[in-house]
Amino acid sequence: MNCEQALEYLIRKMDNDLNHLEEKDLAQHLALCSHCALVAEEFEESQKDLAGYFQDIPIVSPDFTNKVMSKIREDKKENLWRSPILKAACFLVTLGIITALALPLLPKQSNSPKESISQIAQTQLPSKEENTPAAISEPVAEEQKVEQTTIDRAIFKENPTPKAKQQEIPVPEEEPRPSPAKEENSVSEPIQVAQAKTGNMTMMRTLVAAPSLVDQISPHVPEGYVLAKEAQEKDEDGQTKAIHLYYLPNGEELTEANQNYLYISLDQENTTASKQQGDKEVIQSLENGLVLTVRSEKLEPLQLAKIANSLLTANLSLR
Amino acid sequence: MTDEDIVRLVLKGKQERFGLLVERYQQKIFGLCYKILGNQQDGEDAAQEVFLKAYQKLGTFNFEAKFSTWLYRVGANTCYDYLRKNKEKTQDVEWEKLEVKAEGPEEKFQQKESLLEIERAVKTLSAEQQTIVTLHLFNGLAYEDIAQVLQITPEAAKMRYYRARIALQKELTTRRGKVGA
Repeated sequence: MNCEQALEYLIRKMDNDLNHLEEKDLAQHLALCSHCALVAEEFEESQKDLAGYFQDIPIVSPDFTNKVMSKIREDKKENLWRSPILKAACFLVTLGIITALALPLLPKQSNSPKESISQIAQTQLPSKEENTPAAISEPVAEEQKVEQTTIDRAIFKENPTPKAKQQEIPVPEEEPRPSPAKEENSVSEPIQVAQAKTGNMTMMRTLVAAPSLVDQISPHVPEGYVLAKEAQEKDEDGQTKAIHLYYLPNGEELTEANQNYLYISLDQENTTASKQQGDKEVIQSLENGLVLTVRSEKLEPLQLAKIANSLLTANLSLR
Repeated sequence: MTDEDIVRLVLKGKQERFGLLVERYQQKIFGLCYKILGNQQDGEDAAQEVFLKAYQKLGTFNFEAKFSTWLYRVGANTCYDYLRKNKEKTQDVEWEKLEVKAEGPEEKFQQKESLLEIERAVKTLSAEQQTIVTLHLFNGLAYEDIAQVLQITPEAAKMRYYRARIALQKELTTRRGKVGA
């Protein structure tokens, strides 16, 4: 055995990787070579120190898992928002809305193709019975005037119910209907959308609106907060499996930099990885197995807990 | 439930199950990052990044290797990136945070000195050598696993570890003013 081989054997010895015969060969070499014997001594001494050094690792912070999972959730939401398919869909829907709103404003020409398109567009607007350009353009003009716009939910429903018809058809399950003037305010309250003119938000709402659940949740958010964004996740069967809502103080815009939002989500997943929640987040399992998350960087932990507690008693459901 | 079972669930949409993997590997990944980067804050930041990247790239995990090996690869690459970006920042382990088992103040001082000496010797190795030595001596990975982490052959992993260990020994011996290996 030469010194080079002996060095390799020494390292393997540190790993307990020598068989009996190899150990014997090494021992013979070390007995004859004083330099290697000294090196072997050094190796053995440093191996103990190295073992100590590699055991000297601080314990990771107790909320490490929670921090990672929060980052993952944020990342998932950002990706959802940046999804090219969603962007393309938003673009198409905006185009549709703009077309629907703009066509009635065009001069009416009888028996022309434009008229028939305009008529189709008008059927998507709230007032089906008052099918004249003047009647239809009125709410449009109103919407353009108001800075913080209140959006009539009917516009965003897949099968909108004309307002006039709503008044005619009695709906026994619902509370007594208020007067038309009052109705405008009460309907708008839970579903006000900040910066409603911003195309993306309007579009997102059109695509994924789940008004009944939003109506259930919105009364529980603090006064002055308005819905800025909502998104739904669906499973393979097209059933809603999660809903994510972002509320902002009135007048603020939802941007990446704005951390003032209040986030509320309902998720079918009941496998929350960690129960160690920071003081910015409350995660609770509902009786029906849904997981409720309430998070805000701005609100006090006590406020968050109050919101979560009131939502816990609201019989929330995704279906 | 194995790591790979959990990965399958996460890929099927059970996102929160990823937390189980974080809990299983947080200390090992943090340890790897801490030893390579040299301080707790950087180690923890990098470790969080490792898990976030792992989650984002989970779809590329092909179940041929062990999940842990794949995760260590993400960890090693993240630390390399971190070292590359922060080249001018030479991290030294914090003296106050060194924990030693010696009883008397003098013995404690000596043990801390010894740990710092090793720390500085380890830092003279290349990033890859530091990773190999850490994966072997801290994470307890066999050469076959190190080979998968670094995407080299097991034989190459073994040789690189030998070279790193010899280089480390030379540095330690020189620092201690004793005979060169």
